[in-house]
Amino acid sequence: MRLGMALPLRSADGRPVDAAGVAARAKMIEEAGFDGIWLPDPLAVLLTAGLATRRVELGTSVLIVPLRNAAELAQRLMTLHLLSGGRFSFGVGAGSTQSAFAAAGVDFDGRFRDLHAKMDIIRRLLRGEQAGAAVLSPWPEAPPGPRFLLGAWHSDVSLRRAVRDYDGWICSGARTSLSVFADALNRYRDLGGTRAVVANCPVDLTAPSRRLDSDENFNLRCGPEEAEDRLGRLAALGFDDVNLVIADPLGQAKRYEADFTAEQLSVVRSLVPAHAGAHR
Amino acid sequence: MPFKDGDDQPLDATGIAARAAMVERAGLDGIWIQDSIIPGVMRPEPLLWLLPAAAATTNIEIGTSIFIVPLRQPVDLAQRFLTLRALTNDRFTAGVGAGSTKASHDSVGVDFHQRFKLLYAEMDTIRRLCDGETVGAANLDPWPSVKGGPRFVIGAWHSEASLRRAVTEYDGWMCSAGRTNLETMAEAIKRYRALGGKRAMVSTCPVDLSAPTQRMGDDDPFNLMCDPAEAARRLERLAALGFDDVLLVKRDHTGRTKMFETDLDPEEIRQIRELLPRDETRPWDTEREPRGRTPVAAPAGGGRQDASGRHVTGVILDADGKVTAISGNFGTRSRASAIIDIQNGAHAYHIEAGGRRIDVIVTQQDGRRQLGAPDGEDGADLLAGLPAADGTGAN
Repeated sequence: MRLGMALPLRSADGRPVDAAGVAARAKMIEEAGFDGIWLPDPLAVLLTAGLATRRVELGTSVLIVPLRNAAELAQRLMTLHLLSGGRFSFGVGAGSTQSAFAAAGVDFDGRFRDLHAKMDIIRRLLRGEQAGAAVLSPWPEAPPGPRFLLGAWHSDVSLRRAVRDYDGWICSGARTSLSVFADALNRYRDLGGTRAVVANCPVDLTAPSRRLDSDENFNLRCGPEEAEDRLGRLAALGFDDVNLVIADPLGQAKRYEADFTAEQLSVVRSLVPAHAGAHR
Repeated sequence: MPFKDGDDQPLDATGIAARAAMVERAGLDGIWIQDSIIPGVMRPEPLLWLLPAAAATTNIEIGTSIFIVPLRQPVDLAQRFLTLRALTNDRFTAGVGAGSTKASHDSVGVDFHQRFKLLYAEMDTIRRLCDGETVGAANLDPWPSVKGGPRFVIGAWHSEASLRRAVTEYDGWMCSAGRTNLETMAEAIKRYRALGGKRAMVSTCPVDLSAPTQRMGDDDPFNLMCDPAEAARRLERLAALGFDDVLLVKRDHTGRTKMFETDLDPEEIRQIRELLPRDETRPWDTEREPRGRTPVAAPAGGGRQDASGRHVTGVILDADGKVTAISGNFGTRSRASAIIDIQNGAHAYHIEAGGRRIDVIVTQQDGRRQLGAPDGEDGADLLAGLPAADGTGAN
């Protein structure tokens, strides 16, 4: 099982990280032996992390496609793909926060239809085909790809779509229990699904340990030994990737705003055996 | 910054970084990139393409000339602008515009004919969000270090409306060398300065110092497709007009490679650097002035009469709602129009009479009116002869 880590957007002293800060943290993640760096957004921060690293996968978990214009987003994804040497994997989703749609003036209720229609346009444009009045004409020298993963809950409709149209399926590690994971992954595999990713799993190894019930929301708010056990249970289910986000022990920092140290990273990395295979 | 290398291969991140570092080492002041989404031509997304250039440099400006705002979703774009300011330590300047190639707007399904309306409305949204205001349901809660967003420069033609907007709402004004000439630039920058305009930039100026030198008239498109000595003279004329920046784009006079795809040559970059004296000041060294907001549009029906009977077509208010400038057509017998900067007591006129167009600039100094006119015209006589609605002179 591959292990990914989210980039913190604030440093330990509470200041927002600048480009040098993003680069330093990205290098720390790569040097600690993680397999990927994941964030929902912004794409520019992920690219900055990509410029400071050579090996790790760069991923979005997940990018809310309906909030964007399809042709314009396709141009950005194509650019990221080129500038990262093909290391990007785009987890995409329909979104679930109504206020974000209200802010962008996009219809919330039509978000799934919108996601599928826009992803169809994006894929066609990246293949060099025409979509509406747009043709992006990607350079022939560009690496093949990029990879797209569908961030979704566990409905059969979503799983089938992930199998048919995507390079993988991303489910949220913050609001799902092991028993739900097990059931969904079984159905995904039965449908012929390949890469399965658990995203945004909070980790705080200073929290008191206790056995996680299989009906509780999955998390790594526990001591290292218990965390190793929990990750082992996830790997045993057959997940290919788990992507972590450092959680603030005091619960004061927002998600993606709690910083980490190299020591913390190395402890977290040791919870899962190193994965031999690169991302597909 | 080109998109391709000398072998016509697209640049990767390392290639961009190498060229950016070379430009900074040679002592140039900024790295700029254009923007388009044109069917059949691969163009990368500029805000991302600039990041490897920013990461490879430390003390030069990074910017767009220009970025087409109506092609993007404004809330998303405001977030991208804030992010870029954070990632470049304030070295990023957003040159923004409405776009002029219909195919770009068609590609994203935006009405080309609404592009200016969209630009102004969306830039208003973007600026408010960058300032931390709530717009509709959106509030980006910008970090204090990036609050206000990047410097915004407007890429525009020379209409009074555009220049007024550049002065009140933007940190500068950018005109394209490729589509203008010394004559129009001279006229436009005068009006811009008279309105109180600060940073004036010429963008997209083609350069090839190995091109055979051809005469460039004042009404020919401005370019540096000539030998170094001639190029230095041309730049000197731009500097004499008062432009603060000129943004070059490498062009191949043989036409073997396309514009924006022609690679930079280190030797030529060094030659270019020698063409004009260095200016070590950086835009982020000076504190930014607060930007004005929302000019009052020209009154419905094409204008109104002001107290002295003049036909006013536009009024500019500052952030406090105080009138800072008015403009309008002030003539009846011949065509004359004027822009009056109320705060600075400056006036700029042009008069069209008998097939001639004459420019006049009036500034206030120590309570006395100073007249200026180009090329030896007698400003005092021009002003005395300026017709006005009240029949006593336009001032």
